[in-house]
Amino acid sequence: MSDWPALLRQGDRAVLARAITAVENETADAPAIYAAVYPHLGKAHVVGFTGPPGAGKSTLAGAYIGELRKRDLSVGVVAVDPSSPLSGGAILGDRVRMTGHAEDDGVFVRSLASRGHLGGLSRSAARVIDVMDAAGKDVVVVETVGAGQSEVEVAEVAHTKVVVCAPGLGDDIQAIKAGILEIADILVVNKADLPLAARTAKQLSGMLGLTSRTGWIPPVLRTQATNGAGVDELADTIDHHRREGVAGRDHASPLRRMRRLLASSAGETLQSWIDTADNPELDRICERLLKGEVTFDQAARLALDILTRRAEGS
Amino acid sequence: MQASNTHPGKVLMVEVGTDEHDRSAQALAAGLRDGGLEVVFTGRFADAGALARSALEEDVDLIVLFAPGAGPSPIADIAAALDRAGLRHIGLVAAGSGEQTAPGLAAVIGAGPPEGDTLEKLRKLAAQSRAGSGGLHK
Repeated sequence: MSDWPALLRQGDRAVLARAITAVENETADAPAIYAAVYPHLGKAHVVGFTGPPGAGKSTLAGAYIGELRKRDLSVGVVAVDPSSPLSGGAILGDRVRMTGHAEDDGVFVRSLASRGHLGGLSRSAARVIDVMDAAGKDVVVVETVGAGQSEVEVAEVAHTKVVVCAPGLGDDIQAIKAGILEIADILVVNKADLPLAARTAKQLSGMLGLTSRTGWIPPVLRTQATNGAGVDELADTIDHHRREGVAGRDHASPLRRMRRLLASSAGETLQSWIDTADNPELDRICERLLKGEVTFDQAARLALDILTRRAEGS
Repeated sequence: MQASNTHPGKVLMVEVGTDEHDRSAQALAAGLRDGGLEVVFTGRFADAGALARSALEEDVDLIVLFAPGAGPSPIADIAAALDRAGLRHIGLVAAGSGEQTAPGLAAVIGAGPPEGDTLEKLRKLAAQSRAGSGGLHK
């Protein structure tokens, strides 16, 4: 595999798999992969599926992938599941829900654990999408953790955001309203055979009329992922969104995205340092917090001061 | 304060030769997760070639076959499919299998949620497999 950059560009399955691992684990090979991938970005259309748990995201994404294959498009899939905050382990179950056991040269599925990263994706997800893009996938489908509210990160990586929900759950609608309705390009009421599907769709349409920023009014579709009803219309609508050129209007520029990733990565590093460092100064700050002598904001600044001093001293 | 991205291992888990949909398979998957492993759970075994392809795409370190009552033949089929796919480095582990040895089998563990020493063994196997994969430069 010495000529891995060429093989990666050709979509070689083994090279793609190992390049993703290197990016995910930030191994010594990762910088060379970023460099090899960088000139070839921006060709794939990235479609994000998000929404509350139980709405049928995976099954719907799977049906959409099937529809893309009928249209002879190659597909990369990034499916993110949550890591256990206690053990760091994870059960990644989307793969089987999405593709069954099908063997298809046109589909490459990769499951990622969120590894403590909040925001619905994993820290490396954006880069994994880039690697699939450079490997020549026509469409990259991204499925988020589905925790409900804090899934806005997908807006930064996906050109077209599909928000999936199930009919008739009042709380469900609340969750969507609170966090992810704003990012939806297309809303899907899945399980449309259930009672209340029509009412839910109507409620969502009502909420959406007020939120258009780009001139694109997000349509509300109804699907049944389990039998494929409405899936061709979903694929048409996603493609329409792509062709309209409104796709990704609030899609962050790569530099902007990198700034966010840097901020989040620095935050994680800082958090783990404050949490675990053997430092009496930090203990004193916490003591003052306990006694109410400083606010959290002040305490955080004091903690940062320690770091700044250390950086200047070294 | 270096953020660490090393993890103890990624596992593909599949049910082999079980008829009823098995709660104990899910308990095993949960046990592996609680041991810090990332478990791609693919449900019921269908085809050795498809399994090898999943293992390749997911770039796993181990394949755990939940196989109480499974005979040697599916295990041998899977080992052969891994060989054909160039995935000999992946550790093949049977859980709850009646077979104690089979060609290509790296370890046999119990079908129940794994105890500390079993997890230790799996982590060690995963690390060996990762070292043997050669990454991009195979």
